[in-house]
Amino acid sequence: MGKTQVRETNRNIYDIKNKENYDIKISGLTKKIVEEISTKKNEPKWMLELRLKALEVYNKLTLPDWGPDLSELDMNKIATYVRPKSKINSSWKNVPEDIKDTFDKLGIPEAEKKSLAGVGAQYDSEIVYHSIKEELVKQGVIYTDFDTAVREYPDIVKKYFMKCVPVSDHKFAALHYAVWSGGSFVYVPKGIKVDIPLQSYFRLNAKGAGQFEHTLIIVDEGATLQFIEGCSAPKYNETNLHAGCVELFVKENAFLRYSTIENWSKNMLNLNTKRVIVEKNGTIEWVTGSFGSKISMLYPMSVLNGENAKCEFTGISFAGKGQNLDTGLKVVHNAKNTSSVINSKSISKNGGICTFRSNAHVKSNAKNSKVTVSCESLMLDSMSSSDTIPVCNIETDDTEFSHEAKIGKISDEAIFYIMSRGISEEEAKAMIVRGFAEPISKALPLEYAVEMNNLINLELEGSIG
Amino acid sequence: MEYILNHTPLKTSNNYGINNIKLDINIPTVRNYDNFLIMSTEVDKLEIINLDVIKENKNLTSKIGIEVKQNYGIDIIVPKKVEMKEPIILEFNLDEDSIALVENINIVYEENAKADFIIKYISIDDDEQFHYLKQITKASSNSKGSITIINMLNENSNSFIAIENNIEDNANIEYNLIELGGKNKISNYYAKLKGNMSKNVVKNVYVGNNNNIIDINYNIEIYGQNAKCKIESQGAIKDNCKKNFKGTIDFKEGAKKSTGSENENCILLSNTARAKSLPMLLCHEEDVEGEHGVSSGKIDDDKLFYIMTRGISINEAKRLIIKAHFSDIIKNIKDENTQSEIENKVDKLLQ
Repeated sequence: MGKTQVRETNRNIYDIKNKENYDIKISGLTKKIVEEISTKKNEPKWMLELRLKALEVYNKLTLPDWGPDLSELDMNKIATYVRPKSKINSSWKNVPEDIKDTFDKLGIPEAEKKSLAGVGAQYDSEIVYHSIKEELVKQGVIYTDFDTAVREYPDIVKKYFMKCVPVSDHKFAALHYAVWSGGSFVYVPKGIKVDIPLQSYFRLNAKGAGQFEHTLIIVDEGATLQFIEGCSAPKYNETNLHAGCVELFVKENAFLRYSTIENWSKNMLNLNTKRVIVEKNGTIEWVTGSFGSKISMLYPMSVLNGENAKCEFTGISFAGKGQNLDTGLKVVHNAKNTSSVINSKSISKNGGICTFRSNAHVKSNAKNSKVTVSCESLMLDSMSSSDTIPVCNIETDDTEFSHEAKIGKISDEAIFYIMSRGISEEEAKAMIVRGFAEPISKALPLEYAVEMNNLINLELEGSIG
Repeated sequence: MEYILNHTPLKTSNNYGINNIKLDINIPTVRNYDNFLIMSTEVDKLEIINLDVIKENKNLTSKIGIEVKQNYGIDIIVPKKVEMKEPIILEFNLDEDSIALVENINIVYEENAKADFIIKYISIDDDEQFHYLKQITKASSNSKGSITIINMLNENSNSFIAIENNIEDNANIEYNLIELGGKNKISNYYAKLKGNMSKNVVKNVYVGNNNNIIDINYNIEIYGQNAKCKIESQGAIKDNCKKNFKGTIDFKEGAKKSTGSENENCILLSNTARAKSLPMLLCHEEDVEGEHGVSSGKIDDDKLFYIMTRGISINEAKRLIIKAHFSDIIKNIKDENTQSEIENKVDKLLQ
């Protein structure tokens, strides 16, 4: 069967570069720089102390000796703090024209009108726009940028900050805590059900910069929340770095769905850390689509700490030319009757490298727990590669653990079957790939499912054969 | 002395504790060894060369990562077109006079040769013994055979088994690795499927108890087209046994139309036993089919219940189910006496 030519992906809307228009741009990573960031942000002293401690830890830890090669990363060249010329606005009208234009093109205000209960938009290191529906505020829901939360809700922040992801977790977690800026803070009070999703969108515009946003979400007892994060950046020749951190707390009987559509540009190192602690009868659902970045190392972790806690993970990654996406997950079963269902899919083409890496750990107290892991990889050509590296660690005789993985190409029979219905070979293959990604698009709100399908179409255009 | 051994072909996070195995062991002084038997009704069809490893002062090294002075070595060649009707049995005994055996066994299947080998390691007494084998197989085109390696050392011993083989066009080699003895059982299996239509199956049975450490590291690389490979591992662990299973199928670019599958099943019979698995699939070729499955944990409740309704106690029912998992592999071994020796040993270990 012949192969069609591969065309460079058209990323049009994501690649809009704005003139760099900032108040402050700080590059490098030293004690002085960390102090400077803290001063510029007018932070309380306890936060500065945490930052300095994190810097010490960062300097002690080494780069991982496994996974993709990160030697191109030179922290002296990364802008650790870039403050755009804009204050946080709650009215879209007041956002500076160039920034507004970018978010307009990305469809953020449009989505807010149609389907969101609140929006936060971060541009480089700072949040430029934040809004939340009035009725949620009345119910006591807090949705604000993380800097504001540090100043206005210090008690809650102190109680939860760094409690989910410890500073010494790995080198980039320490880096994050030293230079974090921006991000979102959500608190959903007991019993409150937020039916419509909240969304934060992270845009990195400055060349050679890092984005280090901190997201802290607490879903209190019996509450529910859906949260969506989107990420993108234009392409530059310099390396950009994303080392955000997401700390999630799902209390008793609470529910959280955390969805991510990540479309960083292909010069980005995406070294993000995400983790959730789930208490009794709580549920976490992760939905993730990874399309962008040059290198990703991203393994959201779920700690099931309470009886009957549940975790569902649905993820897809799509690696094209020059991309090395090392993604997966970690789950720890730390109580009775806990369960996790993991579904991961990956597609690699045109020299892209997809790696699924996971660790499922069932501790000895996790009696009667269940773990089901399924991963499927699709290779669209032989220049690409696809690796599956799952670890299972079982410490109890009372668990049901199963893991399945499949790897291969699109089956000739399936293509033949669809073509026999009068559909071209290329379209038949595209249909199969979209079908492959369907479990993920089904889990997203409609607008995002459409965005994800468009991303898949962009990536696939003329590329399969 | 502490050793860090048996590294996986690709690393994952060090926090997961599966990239290698740390072992604190004493390697005894290696003296001359001659406590073995080769049994075959057609031995004259084979070409057997005893290697003078002592005189040459050779050290044994392997992918496991330890280097030890060698005290035995043998080459066995199955000449072109020779078909052995009965299995060739090699039996190595360890006792107080020969507490250490460090040997290499090279098996060459010439073109169109057929032969089955059974290699056994047996402790005659309960002294601490040390065994380190490197077994290399070269399977020339159109050859076929099976190699069964059985570790039945005593509870106090250390067992290291490293296997390397090279499989050419249309050759078909099957391995049965039966690990029933030794407090530390470390094994490394590496196969290179160079030939088109080459086939390699490796099956493994293990039982671990007390404070046993079992570290299994298999890696099959596929280069040829239309090649087939399969890894199957069945085990049961109890007491404080720690088991790591690391199985890798690596499809190299050009391995078109090749298939590989991997299946691991480990039953835990105590709440203090620990089972880690890492079934890797590495793929650099589009036109292949690879799959793996792992199941770990308890015995299926429905199966247990069904057997118990027949008036059988829960422990006996568990033993029956585990033995049923093992029996498909044990039945493959081409010698009935050996099959029953293994079954008896499994029975004892599961008591």
